[in-house]
Amino acid sequence: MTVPEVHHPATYEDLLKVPDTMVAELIDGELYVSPRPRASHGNAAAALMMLVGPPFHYGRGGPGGWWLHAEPEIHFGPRIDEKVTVPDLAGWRRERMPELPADHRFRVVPDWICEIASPGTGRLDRAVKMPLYAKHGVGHSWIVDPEQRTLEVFRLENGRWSLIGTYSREQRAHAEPFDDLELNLADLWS
Amino acid sequence: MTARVRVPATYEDLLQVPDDRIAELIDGELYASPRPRPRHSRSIVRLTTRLASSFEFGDGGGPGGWVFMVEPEVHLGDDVVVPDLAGWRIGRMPETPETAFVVIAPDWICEVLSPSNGHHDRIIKLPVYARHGVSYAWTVDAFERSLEVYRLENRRWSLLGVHGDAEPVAAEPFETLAIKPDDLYGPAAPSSPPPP
Repeated sequence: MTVPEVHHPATYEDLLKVPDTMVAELIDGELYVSPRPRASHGNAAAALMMLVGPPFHYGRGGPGGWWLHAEPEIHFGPRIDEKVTVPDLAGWRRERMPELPADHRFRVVPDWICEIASPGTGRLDRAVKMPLYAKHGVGHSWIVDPEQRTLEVFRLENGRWSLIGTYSREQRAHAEPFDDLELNLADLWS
Repeated sequence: MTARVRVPATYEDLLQVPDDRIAELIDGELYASPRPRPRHSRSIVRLTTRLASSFEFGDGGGPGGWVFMVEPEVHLGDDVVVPDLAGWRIGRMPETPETAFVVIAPDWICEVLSPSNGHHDRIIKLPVYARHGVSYAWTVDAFERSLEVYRLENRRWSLLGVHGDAEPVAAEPFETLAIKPDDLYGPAAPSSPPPP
């Protein structure tokens, strides 16, 4: 990975210098730069958007009431530009975020986050980002692993992640917070 | 890969699995997994040594009071599982069984994930351990060098913490011991990602 000279602690200025071909995140003064994901990763992310989007974003065949976004840049904490992550997918209940932000920076903590695991990003996803999401009160977190063909569903309870469901391969899932929807996991890998 | 065999399988089927595979029986399905890779195996030995020294032998002022087993065959109701590592508080297993398997649910289990078995450990086995009242589960990823610590709360796994390899780990139920990253994950590997 080639990153331009980085200050310690890194700043949002450093993040902006990362080339557009990489995903840049800033957590506790540390700049994390990840390569663009492989195709199976993008396929799972796109499939989820196509399945969850109509009922929950648009209210077609479902309750609506959500904003769903792919790779939003989310700024956590009271100060902007300090803790910045780019989850693969995120969702907000519209009552919590009535309007989209004017620029690319989301300041409202999402209600749902989905990270698609890639070989090599497991530690960042699980050891760095999951605790950050818990600390800031993200309600639900999903981890999808396209190589292993698995979905893990976590719900925040008393500030901690509770593993409320694990699914794999061709199983069907009613996974919170989108449990109205029957998700056929096979659709994420095909 | 972990091979799945016909359903419902029985303990008789499990006994037919060749000795070079680890056989498990969960919800009537038979799983036969390859023996672990060297990195996986070293991680298990180093972690066992550290934990047993303090929590079984009571060395160095450790509290003792635990019994550890590597790859025990554990019978939990109709399910047969083989955790990489398991620990029992000695009060729950005062006598070591003379049978080929253990029928007392462990108080703690540890699964060391391999690139090919993460699915099996996280998705298939963690729910079995929860169902049978195992109190703590650790999942060690020796390739990513991370540890997830779960505690059973209301029959569900609550993620107490996720640790990387920057500093020693002190995690329940062994939080009095700081375990060095290399003793948890084995020595650091070359930076290339593991083969799939």
